[in-house]
Amino acid sequence: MAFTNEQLERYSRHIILKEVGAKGQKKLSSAKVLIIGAGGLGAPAALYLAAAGVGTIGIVDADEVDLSNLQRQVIHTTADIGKPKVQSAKETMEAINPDVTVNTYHTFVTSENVLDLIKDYDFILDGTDNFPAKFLINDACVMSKKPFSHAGIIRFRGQLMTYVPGQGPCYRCVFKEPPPKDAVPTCRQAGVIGAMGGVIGSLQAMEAVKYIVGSGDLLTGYLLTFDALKMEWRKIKLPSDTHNCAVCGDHPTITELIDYEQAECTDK
Amino acid sequence: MAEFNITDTVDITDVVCPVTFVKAKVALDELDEGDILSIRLNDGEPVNNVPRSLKEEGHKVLKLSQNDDGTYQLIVQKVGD
Repeated sequence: MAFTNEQLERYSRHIILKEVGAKGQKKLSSAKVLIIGAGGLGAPAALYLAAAGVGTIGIVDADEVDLSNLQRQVIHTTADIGKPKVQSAKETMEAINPDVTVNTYHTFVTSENVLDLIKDYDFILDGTDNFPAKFLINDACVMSKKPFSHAGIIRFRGQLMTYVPGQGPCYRCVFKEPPPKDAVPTCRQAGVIGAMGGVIGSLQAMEAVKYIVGSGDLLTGYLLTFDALKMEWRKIKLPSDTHNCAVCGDHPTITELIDYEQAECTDK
Repeated sequence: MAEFNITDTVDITDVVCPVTFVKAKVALDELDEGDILSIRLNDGEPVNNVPRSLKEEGHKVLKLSQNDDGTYQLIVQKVGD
């Protein structure tokens, strides 16, 4: 594919970078990234990936845009309230960059559909807000040998790590299983500072772009945490021994996907 | 042009800074190490900046000459991959 003059201008700040260049930009154009969750994390990630010219972006979310989303989910506007989030996200992404093809999946991820959802994509972003989905995405990506970015945000804190098959621990290596129901509040109950989604979701997009263009070091084998109140970052080295992991280890005991029960959300 | 064995040519007179350099860089990216690119560029900013930027990228500027129509021709050899 040859770039048009318009594309050269659109992506000029990328192409000028040695670490991206024309080759990297072409890789972005032919890449397919799936974003699961069009919320606090998925919104900024989707905006940056669309702007970056990632050729095909899938977005999975079962929800409709709600007024309480707009404090952080910057891909949606007040006029989008009531619309499926995937539709609202698609419209914004296409408005930013008509080069991008956006596939929408108006559904929750479940053990029934997750393998099918991820199978055509090169890199997966977990932008979900609950533990059952996070373990499901991890296990599905491990089983399908797909690289993915895990992230989570709550209150003034955020964290992320990157899994690449064969290159370090998976999410389950670090967090064996979901915490007991209601042991950890959801962000609906606990609150989350709006810009945290921007910080961590943008880093997920950064990891996806770096993976696609093949530049730099990914957060494989590390958990990066951010405390916005203290303005403190920690890059925690994770144990490199994955042999005993229940899903990515040498003798996995988890060989089928699990639908964990989700914590009840009593107060809206 | 017999003095150089030109592999490819690109015209960057239809774009402005910084796309001038970007278009030249993209053309070079398509080539192999040692290949020679002929670039047609405008006087002024492109002539001042594009050769310098390409040198900074590590490429070898072989020749810059003025064409009859007032544009310039820049001959660059690709270094590295």
